Amino acid sequence: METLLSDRLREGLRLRRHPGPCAVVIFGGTGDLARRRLIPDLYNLARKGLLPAAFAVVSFARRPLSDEAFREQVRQSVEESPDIPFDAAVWETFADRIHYVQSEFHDRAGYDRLQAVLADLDGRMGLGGNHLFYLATPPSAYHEIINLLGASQLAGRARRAGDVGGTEGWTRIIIEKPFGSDLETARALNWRVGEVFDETQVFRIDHYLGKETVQNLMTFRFGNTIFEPIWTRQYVDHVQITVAESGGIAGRGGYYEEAGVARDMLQNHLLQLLTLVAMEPPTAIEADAVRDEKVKILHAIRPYAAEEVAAAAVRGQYAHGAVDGRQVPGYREEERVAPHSVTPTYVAGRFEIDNWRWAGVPFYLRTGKRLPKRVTEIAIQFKVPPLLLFRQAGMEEMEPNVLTLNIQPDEGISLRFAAKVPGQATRIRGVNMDFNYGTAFGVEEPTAYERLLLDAMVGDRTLFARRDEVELAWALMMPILDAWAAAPPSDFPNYEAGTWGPDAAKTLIEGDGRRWRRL
Amino acid sequence: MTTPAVLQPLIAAPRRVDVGAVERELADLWRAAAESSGAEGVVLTRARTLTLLAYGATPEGAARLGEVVLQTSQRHPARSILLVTDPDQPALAAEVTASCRTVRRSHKQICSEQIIVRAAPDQRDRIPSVVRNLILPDMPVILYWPAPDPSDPFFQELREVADRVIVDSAAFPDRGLDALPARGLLRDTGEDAPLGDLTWGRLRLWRGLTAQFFDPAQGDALDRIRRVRVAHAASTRVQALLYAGWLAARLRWTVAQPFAPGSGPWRATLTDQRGHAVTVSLHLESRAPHPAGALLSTMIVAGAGPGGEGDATFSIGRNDDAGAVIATAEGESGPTTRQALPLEAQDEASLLAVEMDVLGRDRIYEEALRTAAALLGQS
Repeated sequence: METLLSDRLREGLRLRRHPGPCAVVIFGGTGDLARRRLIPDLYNLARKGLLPAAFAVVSFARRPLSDEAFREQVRQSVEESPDIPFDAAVWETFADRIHYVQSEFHDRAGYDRLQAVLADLDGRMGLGGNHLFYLATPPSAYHEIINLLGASQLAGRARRAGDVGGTEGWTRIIIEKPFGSDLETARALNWRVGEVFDETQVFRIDHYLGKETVQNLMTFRFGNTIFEPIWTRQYVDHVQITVAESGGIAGRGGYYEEAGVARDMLQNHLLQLLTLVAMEPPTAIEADAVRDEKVKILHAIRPYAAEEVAAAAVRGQYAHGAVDGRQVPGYREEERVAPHSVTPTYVAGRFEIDNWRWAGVPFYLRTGKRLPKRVTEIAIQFKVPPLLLFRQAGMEEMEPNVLTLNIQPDEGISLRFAAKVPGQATRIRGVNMDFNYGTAFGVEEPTAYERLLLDAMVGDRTLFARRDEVELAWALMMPILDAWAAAPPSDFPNYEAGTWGPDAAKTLIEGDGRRWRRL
Repeated sequence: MTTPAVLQPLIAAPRRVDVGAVERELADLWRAAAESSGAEGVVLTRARTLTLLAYGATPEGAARLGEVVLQTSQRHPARSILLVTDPDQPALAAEVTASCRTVRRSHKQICSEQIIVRAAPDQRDRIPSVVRNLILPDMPVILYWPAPDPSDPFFQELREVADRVIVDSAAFPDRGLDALPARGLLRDTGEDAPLGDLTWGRLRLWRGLTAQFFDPAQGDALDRIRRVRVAHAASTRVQALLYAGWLAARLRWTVAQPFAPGSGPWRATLTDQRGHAVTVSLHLESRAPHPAGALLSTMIVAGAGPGGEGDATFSIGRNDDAGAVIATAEGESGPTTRQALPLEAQDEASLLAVEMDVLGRDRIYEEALRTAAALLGQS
């Protein structure tokens, strides 16, 4: 009855869901991701009243800092966040809930201290024994953190079973990408995670999935009757997914040299977008129902044979050039990058999905750094009308309809269709019908991390990757990575910063009688 | 509204037109604007997600209402139709204009159109037929009329056109124990356009913080509540009444002894689901200048529990110096929490914009209003 009454108080408050009491423990809490994104976003959730009254943040990191010193660091980050209003009163009560545990990630004693801090917070604040661990460390630390979470019985399986002092409550873990650096290491990581946590406790985060437009993709497809019937090979000519970045590697040369664009972007962000565009309607908008359908698509994507890679996937690396009127160095001139590096910063590929809906419809994916602008979009290009009725208008071909889902920077949806230019003559021109989030809904959107942090706190895994999803995506990457490793490029750098990638990318799509959209 | 932007008029001054020529004039206005903006490299978008009707009984009142309506277009791009009774107006006339805001980091401008319909007092009955002609087809229609007389036929006719009526309980004159005229607008048949209330929006932060107290860790305290104290600023008790009505309705308390007239605090006795008495008191406090009737503090006291739980107090206080509302939960034996949230913008436009998010029936508000009326001894 108590729960029923407390739920009744929540009715009508127009909050999607509200998390219960919990502590968020951030491993790598002094790192860039935690300071610049995670903790400011948690503060912003607190400012909006979306966090529970009983809530704590515990940073677990190597630097020797007191609670107070860490709070001061975070305060500066929050104050410097351009999109987050700083409110001194909110900060004061939020800061009281921030704690710091100094430890090496491999030091068992640190985990014992963490356990003591959490037990104290549970008792003082009524957190209910609910703990959300966030791995915001370099991936090289994942294994030892997971091992020690298990060994110190913080991981939850034992606690959930009531083996430790009968404590109740949930334990969950968020793992940042990259989930491994290839199929083998991904499997090893997943195996290690599975040794310590149930899959139901694991939240593999890809922040792209927290963006409003990505979520709206499902609403758009499955909440309208007019689009889904034409979302097939009978009407769709091809699909283009572009994730273009105008920035470089932003001081992450060490990481990027190891990863490269295929591991950094293609294996996760782009394949996730592809699965959401291509999947069948799920039986419900629930974690496993949605992820089952995404996994089916990953199974249906035709893997490259080694000899096909050269023709179906293009790699590139930027040379110096100009972006937005500013001269920028080439990749090999960046900090902590080898002077003869062969790490790709651009990839374009053609993927085929062997299922009833998409057979014969190519999906062209491209992503790269130092491209002319920052833009992410999914473009569904439809087939042209079967009969050319407007020859008298001097038209030799009709422009295809294009449905574009803009993910950043301006989130929205655009449909291009043909219209007659007013006048006696029959002249036809393509026009865009735009839906822009900022136009239709003048409300503040949550950031992707705000959304995903809340999802993890309420236990909703719909927007997080499942183990099989991650491994299937790596399996699709391996022929490309292997072929590229076997044949290092001889033409790098092969595109100038501020251009749309190497010429070979153009050839890839134009060879199929199509062209990249001009963005 | 979260992101205030500067609204700029699309044309220098509203254009006066015959009421029958409004649509044509608007079409001309948009065509001309598209041509000039194209030449300037600006992308102009006319956005309309609903029709917003607002009524001002005097030209001065209507001018203020026009500003409020205009501000809501930032959140709800709409065709707004301002209806004005104007003694200086010989018969019936209209004006059209439009306003735009620039989308952040872009060359795009989002524009909304405004129509003003002026009628001489003796011509007011002609307004509804004009409205029926001007509302956008197949789009929601919201009527904003802060304090209507439910028996006014003109109001009733406009209500028939609308999908939702929004009032402001605090705008009605305070009539003591008969302090909830909005209750009269709630019909039990459910045939009329659903009702919204700006005063309900003023309570949103307080309701959210109250609900947060009783997350599962403290959920059992709900059964042990024995006392509720609500302090409010002068002028109107409506906010305090609605808060008490909301809490009682959500927790299924029944009114045993309604508020009685008197000069001191108002006190009522309710009965919870287990038959225990709960005292609710409303206190007028004049500590500092506050918005009329604003909640200043609430305190919920839960008694000791059978499982050894000690007394617990859940307090919310308005701290104007800090610009925040601070919520504190303290228990003799249980956990203690403290959190602050910024005071929300409570200007009329912000409240109206939030209330316009809802298009259907707000069952929780209606139950709160009915229970608040019961606390006053009204049916």
